[in-house]
Amino acid sequence: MWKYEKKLLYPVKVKNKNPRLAQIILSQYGGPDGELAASLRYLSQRFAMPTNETQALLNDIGNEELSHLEMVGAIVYQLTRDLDSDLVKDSGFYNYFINHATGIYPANTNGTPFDAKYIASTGDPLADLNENLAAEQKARATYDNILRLSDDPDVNDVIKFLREREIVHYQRFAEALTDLTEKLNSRRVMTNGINL
Amino acid sequence: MTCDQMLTRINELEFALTDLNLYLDTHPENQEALDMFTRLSATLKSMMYDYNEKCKALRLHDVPNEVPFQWASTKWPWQA
Repeated sequence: MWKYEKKLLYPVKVKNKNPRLAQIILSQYGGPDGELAASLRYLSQRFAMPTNETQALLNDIGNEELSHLEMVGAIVYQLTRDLDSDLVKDSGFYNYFINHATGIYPANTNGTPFDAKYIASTGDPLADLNENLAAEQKARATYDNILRLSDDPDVNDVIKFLREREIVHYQRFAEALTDLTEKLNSRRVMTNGINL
Repeated sequence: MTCDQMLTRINELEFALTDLNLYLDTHPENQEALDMFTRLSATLKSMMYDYNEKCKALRLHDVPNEVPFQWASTKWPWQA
């Protein structure tokens, strides 16, 4: 189960509105390597994980990703507060605005809605852990691209925090993969749920 | 400490615990990391208690018995 704590994992305080930047950041809310994909990927995969370590890690990283999703949503919300129509028209944000106004919708930067095709859950723990290593690097690369395009210090401070967490998650997934590979090779663990 | 300063300290402690949590998931035999986790957990617990008394409840079950219902009347974290 989940309980809400009425705070963000890391504070988000963006002073200046910037709908163009909001549309870029949106990709990490509902895009292919975003935080919604990350949380659903790990929280779905965890059920088929075969060891204590991998079950715990998928559960706990998936949980952290939900708090990242909330932070990214907070950035987009704060960048689009109190917009006037000129700012919407001049920024290119009107493509999003026409359907969603300033509501937060899980889509990528060009407006494609979130899709479960962004994630895999194969039931094979080695395949899933390898997918997760790539996913963390793709998220890190997207945050790097955001940092290349953004010059808002309030936003960049938060993006750097999130980028760093992807690197830590990658490290933990790599440790889990090494440990599980060793256990499978020595036949101390069998993969779950398959009796064929 | 002001409420803002206390919240910053809570954020720092929770961040450290989040990171240690993941480390312990893949290093479950590391007593040194678990000692740190236990120590920071105790500090966080007392900090949360003080914040709750002086500022507002961060967790639903800590809401005081006063109307209006505090949970729904204090700011949400994205409204900073």
